[in-house]
Amino acid sequence: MKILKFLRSMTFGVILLALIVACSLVGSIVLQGMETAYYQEQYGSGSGVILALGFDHIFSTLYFVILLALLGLNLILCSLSRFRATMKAAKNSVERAGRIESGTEISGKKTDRLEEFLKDRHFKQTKLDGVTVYSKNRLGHYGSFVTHLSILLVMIFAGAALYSAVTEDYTIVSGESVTLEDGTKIRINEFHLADETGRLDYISDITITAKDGSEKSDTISVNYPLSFGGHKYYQQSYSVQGSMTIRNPENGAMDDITLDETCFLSVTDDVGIMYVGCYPAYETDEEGKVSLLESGTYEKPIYQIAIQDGEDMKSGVITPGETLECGGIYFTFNEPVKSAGIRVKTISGVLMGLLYLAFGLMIAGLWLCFFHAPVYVTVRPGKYAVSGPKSNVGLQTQIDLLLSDKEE
Amino acid sequence: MMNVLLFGSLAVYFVAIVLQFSSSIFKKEKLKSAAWWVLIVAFAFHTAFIVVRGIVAKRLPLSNQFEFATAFAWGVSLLYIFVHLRFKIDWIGNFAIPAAFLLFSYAALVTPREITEMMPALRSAWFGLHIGAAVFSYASFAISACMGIRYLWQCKKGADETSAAMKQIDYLSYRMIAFGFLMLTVVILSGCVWAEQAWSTFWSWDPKETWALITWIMYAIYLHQRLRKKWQGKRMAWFAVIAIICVLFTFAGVNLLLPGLHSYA
Repeated sequence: MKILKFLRSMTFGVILLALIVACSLVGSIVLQGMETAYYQEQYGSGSGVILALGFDHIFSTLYFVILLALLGLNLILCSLSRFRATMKAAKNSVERAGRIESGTEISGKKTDRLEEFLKDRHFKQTKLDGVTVYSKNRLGHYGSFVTHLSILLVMIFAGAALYSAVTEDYTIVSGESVTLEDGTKIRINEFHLADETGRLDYISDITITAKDGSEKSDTISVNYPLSFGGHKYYQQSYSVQGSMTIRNPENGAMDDITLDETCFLSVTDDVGIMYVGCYPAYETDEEGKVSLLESGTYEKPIYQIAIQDGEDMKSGVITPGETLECGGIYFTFNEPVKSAGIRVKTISGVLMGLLYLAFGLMIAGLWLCFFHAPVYVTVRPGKYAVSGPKSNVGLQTQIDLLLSDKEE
Repeated sequence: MMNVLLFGSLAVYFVAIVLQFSSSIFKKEKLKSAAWWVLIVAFAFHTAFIVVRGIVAKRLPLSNQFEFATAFAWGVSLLYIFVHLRFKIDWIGNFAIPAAFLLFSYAALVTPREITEMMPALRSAWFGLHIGAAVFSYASFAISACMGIRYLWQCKKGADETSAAMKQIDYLSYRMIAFGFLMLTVVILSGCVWAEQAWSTFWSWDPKETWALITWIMYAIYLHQRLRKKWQGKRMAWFAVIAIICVLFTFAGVNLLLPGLHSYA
């Protein structure tokens, strides 16, 4: 029984909260989910302790999960034990206020003024045996209970949502499609790096063909995912790759290739083109010197290359549409290929709905707790008393001012 | 125009501080009244600056450290004005006006002031609610810390903790924390919904999220401890003062020292 009492106590809850804070502190200071080598390099001999205690993935360690589970248990026990008391307190609150004998003495004239003041503030009047009780915000009795219940629900639904969600990332080139395991087909009709006003944005024109054959075409961008056919589609990232057509006029062979990292396209061992990278834009100064820009919407893309001819190597830049001849092979640089990084998430809509409902409940609970606290004013001949489960300094001050001689 | 409003507002805040302290030292009602009206002028300039910046930027001016710090300082001033008018207390100005001035100075002198285009991740319907609630939450915690300092100062001067004046400070500090806590809950929960829309997951233990949670738990502990009789008064005042360090770290420290998904904030 003593253990049960401790498990549901506020002391235990506060201890758990303090331990969760300690874990969160560690988790925010120690970078999470890195390779072992990173911790060894960063913390030297201390890395052993970090890895042994799981500080590298503290939020998924067993002890952290146990802490959360214990907090959940504390909330359940505390809510259960207080539920009856809360109901009783709410039910009998007016009668209890009516039994308050002590209070501040006031004259008859001031009593009238007080009662008028309370009526103006929409206090509910209940006449008991020789006593009048003015009550307000009785729903506030449930504030603490609703808040604790909602925290518990948030923990349950958030945990379920985090662990049941299945996410997969796909990189899809504009104009191409991928098929998911369940048969859903995602096609990126076009990926844009700017919105209609030219402002930087990440937008995919997407067509989803669900497993039952139904189809939906829409636009997705950051903050605006698409839900269809049991999945949710997010604009997660993007990549831009260089594109080139290689042609050998001797045998008529032709090939289109995409380039995403620095590479040497050899014609012979020491002749060929070095692809360095593709840049979103460039600027040309008065002397004709070209500067490459690292960011932009690829409105004015440019390739950085180097041509090797034996021991001779020349660096330069080339724009899409231009062709280079090297060792009898023709390299035509095309417009860069844009790919959209699409995240597909599968999660129960009901679960997310319940989670958001719990969020709303938490806000409502806190509001009831702090801004809708029940308050009772017991008025009996020659006396009045302010009571309630929470401190009523605000109301008491107002009444003091109202009844002060200065006011009179 | 914006620089005139920015530095003009800072200068007027400074004058308000001088007048406020002078009124406390020399106990002159006229100085007290002057400090109040000068503060109102500073607040009007401050508000005008935020409005003009929003018009020029064509968006809510809350998207980077400068804009948030400016709004944070504005929130402190606004809550001070509210407390002053609602509860007829003027001593809070001794702490709140310097707090607003320091925050605004940090924004004006330390953080980059250029108007930049809002990044795609911030273009969401949740932006105003999430950041707006953060402004009021942090400002409430700052005011409660000011009240905590006042409480401790009065204790040091030998004030009776059972007196009505001390009880009022303690109560108002608690009310500010309760409001800040509610607002911080709105910040965290709206952030969760927004993160689910933008990044597909409502919680990723990003440093800013983690520190917002740490701050939330700190104040949750405060609100629970307050229910114990022995924790009222001085201990709670200390708590309110110390907890503001946590808020300031969440606001600025995380951005400087612990980069993550919120590094632009």
